[in-house]
Amino acid sequence: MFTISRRSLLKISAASGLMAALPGGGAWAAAPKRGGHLVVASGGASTADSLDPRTFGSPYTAVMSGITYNSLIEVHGLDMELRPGLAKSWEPSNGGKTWIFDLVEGATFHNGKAFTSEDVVFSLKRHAEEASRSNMRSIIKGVADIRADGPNRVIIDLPEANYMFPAMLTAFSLGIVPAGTTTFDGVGTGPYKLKRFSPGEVLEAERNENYFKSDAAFVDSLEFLAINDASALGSAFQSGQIHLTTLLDARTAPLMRQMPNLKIYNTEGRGFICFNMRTDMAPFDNPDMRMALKLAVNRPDMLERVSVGVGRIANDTPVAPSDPVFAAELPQTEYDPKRAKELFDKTGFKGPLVLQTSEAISSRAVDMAVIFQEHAAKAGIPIEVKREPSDGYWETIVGQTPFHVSARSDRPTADAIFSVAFLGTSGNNECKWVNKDFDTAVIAARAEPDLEKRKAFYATAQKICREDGGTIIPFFSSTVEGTTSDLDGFVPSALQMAGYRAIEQVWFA
Amino acid sequence: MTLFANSPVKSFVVARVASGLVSIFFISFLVFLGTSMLPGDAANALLGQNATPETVLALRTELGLDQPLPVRYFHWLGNALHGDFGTSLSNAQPVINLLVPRLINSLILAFSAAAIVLPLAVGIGLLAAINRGKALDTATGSISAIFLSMPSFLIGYLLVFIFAVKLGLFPPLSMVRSSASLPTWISALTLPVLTLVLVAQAHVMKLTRAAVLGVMSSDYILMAETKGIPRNRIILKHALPNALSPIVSICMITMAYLIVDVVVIEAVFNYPGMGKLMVDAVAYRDIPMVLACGVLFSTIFISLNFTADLLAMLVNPRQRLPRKGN
Repeated sequence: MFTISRRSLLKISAASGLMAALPGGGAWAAAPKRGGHLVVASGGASTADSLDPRTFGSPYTAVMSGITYNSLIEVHGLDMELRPGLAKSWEPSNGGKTWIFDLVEGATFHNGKAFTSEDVVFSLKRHAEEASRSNMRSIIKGVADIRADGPNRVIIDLPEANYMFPAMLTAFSLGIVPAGTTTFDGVGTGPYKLKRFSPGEVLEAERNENYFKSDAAFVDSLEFLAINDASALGSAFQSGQIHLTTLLDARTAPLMRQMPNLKIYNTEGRGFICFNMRTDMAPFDNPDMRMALKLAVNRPDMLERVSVGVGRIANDTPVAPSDPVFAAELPQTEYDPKRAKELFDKTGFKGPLVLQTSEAISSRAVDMAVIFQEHAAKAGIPIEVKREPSDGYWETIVGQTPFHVSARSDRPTADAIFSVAFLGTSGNNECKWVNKDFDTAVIAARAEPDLEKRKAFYATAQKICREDGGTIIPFFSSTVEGTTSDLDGFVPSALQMAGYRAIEQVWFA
Repeated sequence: MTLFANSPVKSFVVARVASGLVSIFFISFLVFLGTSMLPGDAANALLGQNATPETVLALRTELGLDQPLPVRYFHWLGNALHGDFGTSLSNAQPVINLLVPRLINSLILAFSAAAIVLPLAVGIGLLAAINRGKALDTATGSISAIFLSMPSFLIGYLLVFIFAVKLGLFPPLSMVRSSASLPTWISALTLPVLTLVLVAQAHVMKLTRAAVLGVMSSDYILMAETKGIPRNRIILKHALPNALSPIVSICMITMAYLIVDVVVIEAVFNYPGMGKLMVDAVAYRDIPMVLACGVLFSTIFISLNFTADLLAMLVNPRQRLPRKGN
């Protein structure tokens, strides 16, 4: 038996079977109640948002996907266990090169059409189209074939074995729409039917009475507000105008924790803000320079000052401690100004290193650059922070200039983040870092069905990434989320809003 | 009314409408040029971190950004003259559908604020002028100076903190739905309107006071004073009519400010107005949306300026007379 997450598939299906057997969630908690009008809010919204799941990428659209759409597989809890969505089960064949997904039966779309395998094939293939700007484009394009096998089964062929492939299908942009959809107006299989959508302002929806999950969608109707201003979001939440929110300001969270009418949670996120060093450009083509800078960051101090300690210290690899393949045995890179100075002097580089940063990433990106400058100065490494305008930062600076601040959002598996951002062959490798041994380890890990053996490959990959890679990752960001105390059923996950599905899970006590 | 039959007024209106149209045309061209000259385009902006050369190229072709600049501009202009402002590059919805609800929201906010701030500030300005140098003058002057020197977002946050978070009298967010009842609307609008009133009052008040006092130093006022006419009467009957031109001008400029320049206030209260739409449109290089906003904003500015000049002309008989040499 292979494993997908920390738990085996067997255990997952047993658990979900148990859930189905106990109506209303079981005896250990108060039974969920139906009814009420829920007000949800999130930042990260734009007036440019659309209802086409292929365009989803921001925190706001991620939560939107959990309202009107379903993906094949869902993510649950802090260890990111995979749970059935529109696929009730999945299994590999052909040594991990082929994956077979059995779909739930009897699900319908909001327009009354029955959900079948054709819809899955259509919805997934759209991501690989020429005009697609999906964040899953490279993944779906890399798939050899997606085909229907009868109305309730979908088969996906991969060019090479990948035992972590199912986790890719948890992506919120892979929501399933009816086959042939050309105008996207929110028709999906999701727990709530769209009533009104005004981009960058609000989404209003009412319960889908034919939802295929019997133990979900408890509130009758909802409003999902777009509030990008962190202060406005915080004050609205404190005053009780909002029942459920994500992306609260970590710095005001300690105050909110003291308020009796609010419940505050931290997600153990896997996203991060990082310092990119272009390994194909001087002076960062010298590994000594890269290590000098990694030793010149005081990570705990940076985390404390940037987000009052909410987050997890990182070790210059994108694999978070909550990930099952995290290499705990690797030594943590500590702040060592003396050794950093020795390595820096060894490179013979003179003059300041220009570090570009911008509010386009986040206000914390600017703070982090300034704090890094201060830490490095103590090691005798001169860094000059250059604050760039937000406008055009992603296009003209990120991945282009020698030394800059960038960021990566949560990815479902170590394979996903390594493949997108670190493999030498990836077009989205911002540091242009190429290391053959690293690439070999990552590719070998995909084809390894046994978790323990896979861990060994990932340990190698993490070791190389930490020592030689061009990315300085000081810490993983956590997201602060909250509910009012009358709201029940919210389970924090490593991903925002309970893996983007919080809205169908909560109820008013 | 023979007022409009006067040839100077008529020719003034004709000339200003014509020059206004030409200005709007030029502004649309400049906005188009400016947006096109910014680094990156809609394809880059939409793809963000997912951009690879091939996805950018594909999206650029889909959005029609591969065509030369003049072709795109004249294509837009032709459609715009027929009332079609195109579809948004970012979410493929007609620009008008996105624009109109937000324009209405901005207008509601601006007019509510104007309806309070204009009479109030002109009134206070007059009182300050009447009581020049007395306690009332000093007090109103200092208070308005305090609000004038505070950033508008700070005033907004302070009001939210006091009236929404601490006292719970008003909602901290001004999310209004068309279906909401009138009391809900009023409650939602109170804080943003109050913020705008506090921000905008200073200019109107100070200008009213200065304009009235300016006229007060002229000879015919001295004449009136020597005749023994009471000061209040002098100000209201003799000074105010002659001070009206600059007051009307500042009122109209304030109106334009309230409609167009409230992006910050919208962010503080999360009010769904035009400001955020325009900022997002620029960030995403959504040229049709930027053009539509630009044309709309310039039309508002030009028509309010025109109204200001026309009113100034109508309230001041001297300006209605034919000018020598014209």
